[in-house]
Amino acid sequence: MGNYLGKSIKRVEDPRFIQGQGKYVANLKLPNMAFAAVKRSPYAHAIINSIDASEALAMDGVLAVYTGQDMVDGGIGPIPCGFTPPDIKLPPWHALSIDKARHVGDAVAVVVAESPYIAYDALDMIFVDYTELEAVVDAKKATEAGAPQVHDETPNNTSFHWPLGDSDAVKAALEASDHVVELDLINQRLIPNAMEPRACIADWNDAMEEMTVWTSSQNPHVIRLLMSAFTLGIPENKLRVISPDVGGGFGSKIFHYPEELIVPFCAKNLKRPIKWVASRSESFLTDAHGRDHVTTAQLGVNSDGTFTAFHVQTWANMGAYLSAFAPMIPTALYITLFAGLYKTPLIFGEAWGTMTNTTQVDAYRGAGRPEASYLLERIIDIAARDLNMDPIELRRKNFIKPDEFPYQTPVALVYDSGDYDQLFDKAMEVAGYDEMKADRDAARADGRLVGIGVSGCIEASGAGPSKVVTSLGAAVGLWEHGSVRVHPTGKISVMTGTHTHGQGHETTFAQIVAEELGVPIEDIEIIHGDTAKTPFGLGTYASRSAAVGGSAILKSAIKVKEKMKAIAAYQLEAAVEDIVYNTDDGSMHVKGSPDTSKSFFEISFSALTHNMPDDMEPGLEEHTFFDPPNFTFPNSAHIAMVEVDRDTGAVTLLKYAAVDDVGNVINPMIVEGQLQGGIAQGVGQALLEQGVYDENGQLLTGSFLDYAMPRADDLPMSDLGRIVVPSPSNPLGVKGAGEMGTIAGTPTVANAVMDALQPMGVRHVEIPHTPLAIYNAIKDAPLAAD
Amino acid sequence: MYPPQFDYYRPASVAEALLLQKEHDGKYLAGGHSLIPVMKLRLSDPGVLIDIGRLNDLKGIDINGNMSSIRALTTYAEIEKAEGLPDMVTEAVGWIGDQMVRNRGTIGGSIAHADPASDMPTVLTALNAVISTVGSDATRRISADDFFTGLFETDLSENEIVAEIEF
Repeated sequence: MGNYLGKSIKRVEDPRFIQGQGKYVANLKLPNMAFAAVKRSPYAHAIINSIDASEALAMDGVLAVYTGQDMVDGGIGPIPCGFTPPDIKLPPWHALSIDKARHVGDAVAVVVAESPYIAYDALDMIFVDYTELEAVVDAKKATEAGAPQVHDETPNNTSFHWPLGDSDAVKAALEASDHVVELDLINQRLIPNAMEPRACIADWNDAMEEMTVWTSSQNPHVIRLLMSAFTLGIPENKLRVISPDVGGGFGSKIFHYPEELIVPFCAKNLKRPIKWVASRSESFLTDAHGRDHVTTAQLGVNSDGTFTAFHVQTWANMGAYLSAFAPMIPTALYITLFAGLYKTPLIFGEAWGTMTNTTQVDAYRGAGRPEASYLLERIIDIAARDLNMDPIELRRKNFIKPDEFPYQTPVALVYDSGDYDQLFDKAMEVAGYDEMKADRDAARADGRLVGIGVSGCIEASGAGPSKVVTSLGAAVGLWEHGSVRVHPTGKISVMTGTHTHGQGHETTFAQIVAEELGVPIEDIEIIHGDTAKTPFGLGTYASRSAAVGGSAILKSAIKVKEKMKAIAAYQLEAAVEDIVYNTDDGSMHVKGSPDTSKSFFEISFSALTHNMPDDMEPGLEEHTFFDPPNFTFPNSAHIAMVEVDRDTGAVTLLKYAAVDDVGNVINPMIVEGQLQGGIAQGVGQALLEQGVYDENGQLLTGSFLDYAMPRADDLPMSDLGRIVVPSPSNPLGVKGAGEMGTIAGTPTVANAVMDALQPMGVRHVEIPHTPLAIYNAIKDAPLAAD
Repeated sequence: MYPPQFDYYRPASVAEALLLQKEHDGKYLAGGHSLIPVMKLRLSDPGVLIDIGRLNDLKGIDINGNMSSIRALTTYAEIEKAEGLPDMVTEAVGWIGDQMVRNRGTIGGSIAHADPASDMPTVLTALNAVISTVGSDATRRISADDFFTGLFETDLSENEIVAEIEF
């Protein structure tokens, strides 16, 4: 631990957030601004025959109504997909749908008015003539003969098929195994519900032909690239995209959304700034949903507990349109994690991406890795039960051992390092596993339904090595930019292409620079989120910001330090190897002669003014584009204890212990916050949350009245432990901590509930384990409930 | 969300409120914490709001021994602070919403709305409360049992205002 790294420094962002002084898109007011409201389909699947806006246009204060055809005529292109597996069929996604509405909430027209009140009143006066069609909502049933076809471009509603491995070899190995666990499993649809709904403002400068767009996004440069190259028709150098404070994303704000085209289109046509803010109902209907997999899997196990083979087929619901990274979630981020922590020698996985009349599905905290971990940890738990082995013992039998790294998994990824036995030893210690088991057994003897669940999870994070991701089908590499600019007076500006939306980068990135250069945090400003202020960056998601973005910043800080030492050497008439850089205060002195020194300010001032070596350029600003050599591999062991009320089915989470290896830790307080929050989302999926459509494609869980978010009283504070195995893939040695809690939380709690029901012979219950789901499982249980 | 357009009247007395309601077929607004969210979701489009929230005649609590009487526009915050009410009432009111909701929400407005998820209908039924109403045509006294008739349904006519609750 240095002066800054490893310290729980309070977040510099928090004072403005806590005092209501954050600047979110919805807070911005521009002179002469008008307001847009989007007309959305109430049907899941319907032909759009005509749109009559005459009554709306006659209203006082209504400025315009536009349809999908207006936008196409105006040069707006369909929203592209940024991850294209081989032979993928790409159905078009127009910002305002033209021929058909394909999900409830699908945008069909936009009205612009002087006030939002008039805009929403005008929406009611736009009359759309629909012919309703039958809808399909299930990921697998959509591929069956006779299912309503969502797009002409995707026959059998199948957009792509992505296999990895040798299915025949795996099937043969399963045949030869002592025991095969078969499991059909659903990973249910989740709705992200970031606290800040999406919003967009566009301002068109007609004289300069420049467009400025404010959008609540996790990656403004990516949005600008997609808009200038594919959709908006404005050159990249004439387009500025700004994401100011963003109130949470969890993945849902990565993607390019229709409103990011609708609003600028209106602004350019009307030559006035235009603002749109989603209502919570719109968020439920139009923010990209998460998960929604239907899976059939088999795990081969020998009677000594060794895993022999793993075979998986998954139908992944894409929704009505292909969102920017949707095809990557059930493929490169999912099937490649099927080894987990284990040495299973033969693995085959295949996924079909299917179209349905539901909201589009894309990355949501964990993005493919929670789906992989839930499947693997669930089937392993059933195997443990079938073999009558302790769930942790069964896992240990199959761990990749420390001396086996780097380990080439059968599913493309090479794991760099790990010590899973140590991880579980520590988790058992933090949880008090032996006492937990004794408590559970005593409770069981008393007739109480108490259960213990464990999970061991790994993920590929710190996305990522550009060669690898582009070879898998990504349209862009996942390097990151970071630069450090020292001003003449010694203050520092750091430009990053990541974009914090709750992660605290304004603090942690400042800690990195403060540690390296010895400048106090108050003198370091982190600049992000504005394409005019920072060079191109790929944004914040996939637990990449510290590993890739922070490393780029560190490398630039080191370059700055080397240049300053060279200037000091020149001024102090010494060899640069004899210059000692003091990271306590940024001063530099000659080795052995501490009084022969220069302060940080003296050197920073020189760099822009005078007294520099002849062959050195002035200035003190360094850039780095860092392309990591590999993903990072955070891993975890979580243990939970629950009690099930046999009369109501209600699950109480009694205890939760988590030990994570997230590599080096920059700010322990922030990392703990990420883990606690991630665990909360994992528990949410296990016990509470589900996006539900009826067979007509109506979203039944369209508000917080019906969609159950976890609340404080649903969760105990988790006991967190840590082991640290620094990542070899970046100079900070960090692995990324943003998603691990969510990945591990769901299988841990689900396994605990299943353990609680084990005396009743219940094998598997689909999550969420709501009171009703568990009540029904108890009612239908094979063994009597005593 | 943005509610549909509406006209707004603020009567200075109960009598004026009743007249305005008869004339404009409007909906009474008390604390607003049930009605305004429903309007913002566009599930309700009353067209005319008659704001009775400031009518002091309909505020106050009287306690005589173990008989209590709360006038309809008393806020939950005031009820929560009052001494001498049955424990059931004080405890239940303390659970409602949060402090900001309790500062605005009124007992009369809440029971006129009759949300099955709310607390007062059950409490008042358990206490065998009597609800007094005033309308353009008559004043009435209704037992809680008879007052609450279904989900979001009461025995009130459009014109009647809840005046007082006794238990």
